Amino acid sequence: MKKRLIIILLLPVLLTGCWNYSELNEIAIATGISIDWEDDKYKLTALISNAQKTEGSSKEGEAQITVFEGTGKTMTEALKNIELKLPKELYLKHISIIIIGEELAKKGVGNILDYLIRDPNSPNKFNILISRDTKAGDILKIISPLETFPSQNVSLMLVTSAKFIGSAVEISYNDFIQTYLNQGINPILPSITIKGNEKKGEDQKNIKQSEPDTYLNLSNLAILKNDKLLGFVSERESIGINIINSKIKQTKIHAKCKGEEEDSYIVANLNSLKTSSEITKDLKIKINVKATGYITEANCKIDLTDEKNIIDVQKSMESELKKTIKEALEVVQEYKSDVFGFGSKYYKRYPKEWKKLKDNWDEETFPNLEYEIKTDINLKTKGTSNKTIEEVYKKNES
Amino acid sequence: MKYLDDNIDVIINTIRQMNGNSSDIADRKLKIGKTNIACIFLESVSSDDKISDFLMRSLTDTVKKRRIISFDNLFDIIKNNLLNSKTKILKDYDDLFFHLASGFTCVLVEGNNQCIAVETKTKLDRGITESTTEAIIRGPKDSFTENHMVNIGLIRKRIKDPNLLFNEVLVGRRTKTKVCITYIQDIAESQTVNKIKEKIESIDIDGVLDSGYIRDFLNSGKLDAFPEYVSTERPDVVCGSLLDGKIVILVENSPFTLVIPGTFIDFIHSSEDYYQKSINTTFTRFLRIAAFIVTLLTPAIYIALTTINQELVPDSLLISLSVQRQTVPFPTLIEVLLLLSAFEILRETDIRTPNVMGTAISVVGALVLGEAAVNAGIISPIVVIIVSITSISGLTFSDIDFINAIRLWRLLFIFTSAFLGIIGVTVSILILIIKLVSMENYETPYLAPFSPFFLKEQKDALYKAPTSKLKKRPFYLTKNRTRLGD
Repeated sequence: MKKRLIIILLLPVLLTGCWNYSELNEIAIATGISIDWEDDKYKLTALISNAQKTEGSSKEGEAQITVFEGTGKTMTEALKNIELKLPKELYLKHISIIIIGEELAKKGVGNILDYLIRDPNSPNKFNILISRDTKAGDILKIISPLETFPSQNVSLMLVTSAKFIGSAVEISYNDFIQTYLNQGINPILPSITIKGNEKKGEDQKNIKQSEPDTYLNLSNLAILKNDKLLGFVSERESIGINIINSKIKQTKIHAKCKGEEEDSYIVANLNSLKTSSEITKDLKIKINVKATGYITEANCKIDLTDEKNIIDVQKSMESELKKTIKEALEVVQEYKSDVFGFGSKYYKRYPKEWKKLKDNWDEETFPNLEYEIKTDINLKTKGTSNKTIEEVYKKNES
Repeated sequence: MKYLDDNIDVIINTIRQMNGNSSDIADRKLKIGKTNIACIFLESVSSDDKISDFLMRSLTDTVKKRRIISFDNLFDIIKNNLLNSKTKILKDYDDLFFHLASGFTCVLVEGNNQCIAVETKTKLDRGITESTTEAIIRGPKDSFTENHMVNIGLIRKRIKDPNLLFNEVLVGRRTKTKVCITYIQDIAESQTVNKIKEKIESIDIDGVLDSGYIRDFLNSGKLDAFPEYVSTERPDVVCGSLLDGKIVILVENSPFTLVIPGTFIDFIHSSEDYYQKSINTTFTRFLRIAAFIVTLLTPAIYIALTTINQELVPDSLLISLSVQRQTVPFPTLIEVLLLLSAFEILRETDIRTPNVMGTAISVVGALVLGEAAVNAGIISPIVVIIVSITSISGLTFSDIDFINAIRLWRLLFIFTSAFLGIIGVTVSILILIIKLVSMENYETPYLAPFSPFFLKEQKDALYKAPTSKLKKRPFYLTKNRTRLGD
């Protein structure tokens, strides 16, 4: 009896036959994929990151990147064509970015999403970007001087940009799928472009120069409607969109000095941005932004010890912020694509009323929504100096 | 049982025949008055000095001083005038030989069918030395020896309580080894003491050479890799356990004692824990638990992550691991097993080889395994790191049985992880926990005080409260719990 029990217990272990077992040196680890639409076919470029360095490397475990391309009528076929060129199994679970070509984005990305959702071996945690003014495949080939892998480079750029500047935003696969599938909300995507000569950027020489010929540059947000690209907005509008969507925590804001020549500014870094936006039953948007910040640069002739001056600065910054948000809102309304998800908010609160508005939301209702923006900035510190450096200089002279 | 004859020559011849004329049997005949007297002893275990200084002198002096005229009661006269502290009257041959072998000298008097055994034992031990297997930095450094009485003395020296009992049982048909059940009467559970005594008395074996022989008779008979008893050669550990209400078994000729019952946490603790500051001790104990987990799981988790669950490894790490493996011809499982067994063999050699050859082994081991294998591309550097971490963490523990148990379980972990990945590791962890939880010896749960969980016993489990706060003894060991007086 005991023996039989042991055999029964051993069977499931031994009969599984090393299900999805693969040695590390038998897989080609792809860390990024780009998808273009060329000649009515998908053109996939996979970035393989674990090729061994052959020349001039003494360090154990240093890797080199290689890029493989494959075309096909479907995603699966294109991937199969890549695998035909590889001696190893293509491993997709570690993909950190997927770059979609501008042309394909205009055509619609629904079919790609279907593959990503359906295939169990497809990647599931990555950021999506749109390549602007360039083929998506070229972006993966640009070698950056600061990061070994282009895919890593792009993801890090996204993170830092979202953290400190606020014009780009990390859109993960999950975010994208959710906004795509939900009612009353449309997706946005960050975009990326190449500055400089594309061919030179593929060469290792590019990173050996102190000033690289070619580099990647994060561009502004792309507005989509359902799965199709409508267009790109400006940097300022990108920041505005991100503030409304409360996707960023930090941004910098410039305010003109009161009653002075045009090119003197006072600059503040806003952190802990908090946005609350709601939509009322009678279709009015209320956006409320609260932020604290500190002055990073002051070129005006004002006394920062005076509280009145600080309040003045705060007010001008508040109106500046309000302007940014307003511009963003208006541009998106012109695109007729509700990327803020006001429709979805309305649907959650007033599901019955939503049914009537549902069909014409993006076309009619959203572009004509009225809005009310409130901003509240609290400057906490004046930086390390009370007076501007110019004033101190003048005082010492006299 | 054969009683002694009354002729000394017959007795001497019988003894010689019993032992096949062994070369170390010696006798000395003398005459007091008209009576023949003989001393018989084993040269190998007796001290010449003691025999000539005390025994011979007192025998001859007795006659001279007393000016004995009548020799009728010579036997009694000798018995009463011996200078040695330990004398015994023996009546049969078996007993006689047992005492001879124990280092006694037997005085035979013509015409008496009994003899006087006088203790003339020679010192056949290496003296009290520093403990080699359980080294500590701060605390008493002496350790038990092969000498039974010295061992008992080292305990007596520390606990001068009349309730400290040493119950002796002779075990082994041929070796007649003294096995001492030691406990403090009013602390230890008498039921447990009786159970252990019964078990030891029922042992019918030809020989007992070490406490390891006894241990197998004491456990429940289940196949458990983890040891149920702490085996220690440190008298301070033994005394600490006695004061906690545990029972200690001393075996003659073995410096290693058994402390019953052993719990899992005993192997995590070290005697040093009580001599250092409590806060630091707590930290050290957590470190040991971490080492336990590391030494048990590292190779398994490595195999699971690199062969089945690659999606759990961060991108850059996976790429680095993958590049390191490019030239390795073996599957990861074989690679890990190869290096692990190489280390185990190295450890085994290191124990068995004389110290002079130790350097040669370490050079070969470090160079061949560490450098050459990696450079030749047979083994990836990361596996060397994994195996090193595993082995070093395993050496945190001093009990060899505990280390070996970890080694066995590690293998199980490695195989399940190679087949089922992280799920296999999880399942093995569950099996291990179930196994440990179900273990119990002498009514003490093996994982006490964690499972079942006793909040009040946590003061000296992983967390160590200052000794001034440890007011009570663990309740699963004793009912007499007051440790600290008011």
